[in-house]
Amino acid sequence: MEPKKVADSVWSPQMGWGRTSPSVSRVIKPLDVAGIEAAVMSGSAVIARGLGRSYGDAAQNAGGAVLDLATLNSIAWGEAGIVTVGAGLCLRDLINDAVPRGWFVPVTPGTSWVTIGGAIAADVHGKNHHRDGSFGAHVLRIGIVDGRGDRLDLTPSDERFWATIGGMGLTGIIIDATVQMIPIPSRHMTVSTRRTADFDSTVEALMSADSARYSVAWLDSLATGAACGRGIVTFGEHSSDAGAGKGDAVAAPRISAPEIFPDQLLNRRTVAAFNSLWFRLAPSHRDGQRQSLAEFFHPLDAVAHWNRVYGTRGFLQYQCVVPAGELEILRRIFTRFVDAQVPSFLTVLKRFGAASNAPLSFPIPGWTLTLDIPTDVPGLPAILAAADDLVTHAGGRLYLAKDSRMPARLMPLMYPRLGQWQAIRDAMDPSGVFTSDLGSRLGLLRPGRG
Amino acid sequence: MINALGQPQRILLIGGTSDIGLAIVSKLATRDTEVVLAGRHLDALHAAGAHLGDAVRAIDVVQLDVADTASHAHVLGEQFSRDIDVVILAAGVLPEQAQAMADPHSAVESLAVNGFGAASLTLLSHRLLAKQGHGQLVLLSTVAAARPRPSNFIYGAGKVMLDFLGQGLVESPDPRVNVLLVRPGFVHTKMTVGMSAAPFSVSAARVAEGVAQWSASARRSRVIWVPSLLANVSRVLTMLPLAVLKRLDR
Repeated sequence: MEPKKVADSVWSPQMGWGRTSPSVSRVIKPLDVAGIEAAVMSGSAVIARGLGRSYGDAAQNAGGAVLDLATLNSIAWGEAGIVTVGAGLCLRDLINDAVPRGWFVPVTPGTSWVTIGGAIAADVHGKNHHRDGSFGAHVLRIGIVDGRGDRLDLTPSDERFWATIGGMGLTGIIIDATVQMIPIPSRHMTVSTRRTADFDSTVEALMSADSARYSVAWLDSLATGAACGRGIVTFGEHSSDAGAGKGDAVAAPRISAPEIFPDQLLNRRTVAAFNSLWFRLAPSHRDGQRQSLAEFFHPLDAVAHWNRVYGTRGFLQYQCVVPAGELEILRRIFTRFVDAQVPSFLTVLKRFGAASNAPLSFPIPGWTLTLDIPTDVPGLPAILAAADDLVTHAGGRLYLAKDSRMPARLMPLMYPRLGQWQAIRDAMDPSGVFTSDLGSRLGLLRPGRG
Repeated sequence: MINALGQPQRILLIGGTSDIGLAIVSKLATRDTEVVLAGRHLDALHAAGAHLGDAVRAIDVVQLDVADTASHAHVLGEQFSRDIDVVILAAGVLPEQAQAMADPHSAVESLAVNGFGAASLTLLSHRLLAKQGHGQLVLLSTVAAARPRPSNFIYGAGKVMLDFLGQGLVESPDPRVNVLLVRPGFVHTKMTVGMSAAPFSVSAARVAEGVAQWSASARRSRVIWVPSLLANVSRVLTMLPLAVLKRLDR
């Protein structure tokens, strides 16, 4: 087919949330599905970009184009909490529309600033993974434009549906999706908190909270000795005590971080002080606390651009998962970060439930550990490489939506169904239209336009 | 792709046997980096590659005659069929000044490498990196390009062309390509063995350190001197009366 003219576009540098390794792409803003089809058939390599919350290079496309689909933000309610939404719709807008109707998103990550397309492409998970699985488990249908420019409707009986879930946008441009929401009786959460003294008691508290719909643990990444692995475990349920209420369930950010933070503001000393204070401020044992949805699910959203706190060098997030039987290895991984005194103020431990059917979906039944790390920590490459070895040895993996540095050789070891995914993707995109910097870095692409 | 830790996946070293070039590669590469060494003599490239050994994931060698500018587009085009994160241009020859003066033909031969050849490779690499949408271009100039000195101005004449182009690229930045123009002082390498070291001489490792510092978080193009003190020294040099310069330049 002849290349088609696409909508006006400009070259601009793109970065992920971690603000590392920028690259330059053309930004195309299609106004409708026809515009997306034209972009796909334009002869340029393309990738969809949502709100840029992937930490690394998933929504960058050096030398190619990124499609900004913010105009695809429709919401159409069906029966029984089934909603069809545009791929560019922001999760917070969906939440604000849904909560007054008595519904909530089935899965939300730690930020509400993600698009539906992004949530599907990364198969995001939340604090309820052990109970409800990842986002893709609640998607009933995906509308997508494939590499031939054809519009497809994919359902769970189709392997292309599962290749798209967790497929990092490399199977096509997601246009819209139909999602089964969950009913909520209230716009509040009932939250319990347990302060834990060490790694074992943190794990124990998380396991005892398994029956709670939502659970997660924050760890003090710099506490050593007997206090190693101390943390704050929170678990919550949707409250049943109030009506749906009025107004936005998740409000706009209260403050915005300016672009003035010096490099190395977050170092061992400042993070240790923060961690220690955070730990001490938490109640040792509290039940029945009432929190808003935003407080419980998206506390960091209160500060817009909080990633700027890391200065110009940026930061990365290391998120791994190991199988349930490999808790000891996870403890070793965590201990190594502690021994190296890697300053992370956002360190999270969480239990995962059953895995998805999607070949590149991150969660597997087991334990996931997450750390936010400034990139200029001395010796960091070696520290992370050692962690990679342990994760791989345990049969675990890293989360692609967070990754910004893992070596390509680990990809097939961490994702054994990679070959299967590539075969489906190749059929959906025979000429290699869909490329991204992440795909290039991890060897996920097929030779084509990229 | 260069990752969040500034680690490149694929490096092309033009002048694949250059001590400085190899020192830079050693500094930038990890065990997951693929290195391509380009140069005239395959045997020498293989030997240079053997020195890198297991420190990198893979080493490839490719024949390239810097003086043969007509061949450059083809050779580089083939290498760019896959992404290259960093191109290091370290090719060059050091003509013996007295001999070059006595034999203008040999002088022009050195200009064909240090001047036209380097210019061709610089502009081509820049274009290919820009088309690719990302990448770093490291150009090895010299303090000898700052001011003609009686002992090496034929060498300097060739390097001036590279230096001028490099400066131009740095000063008219393309967001897709970060250019580093490196101006080292006298560097102790096999090319300078037997020569008496000029003041502010440095090791190849020191030059590599300077490049690595820039490369790890390259957000913009720049010019660096190694050692950095040379920036000021060169300003003085360019204003120095010839009589004084001759005394200094033995």
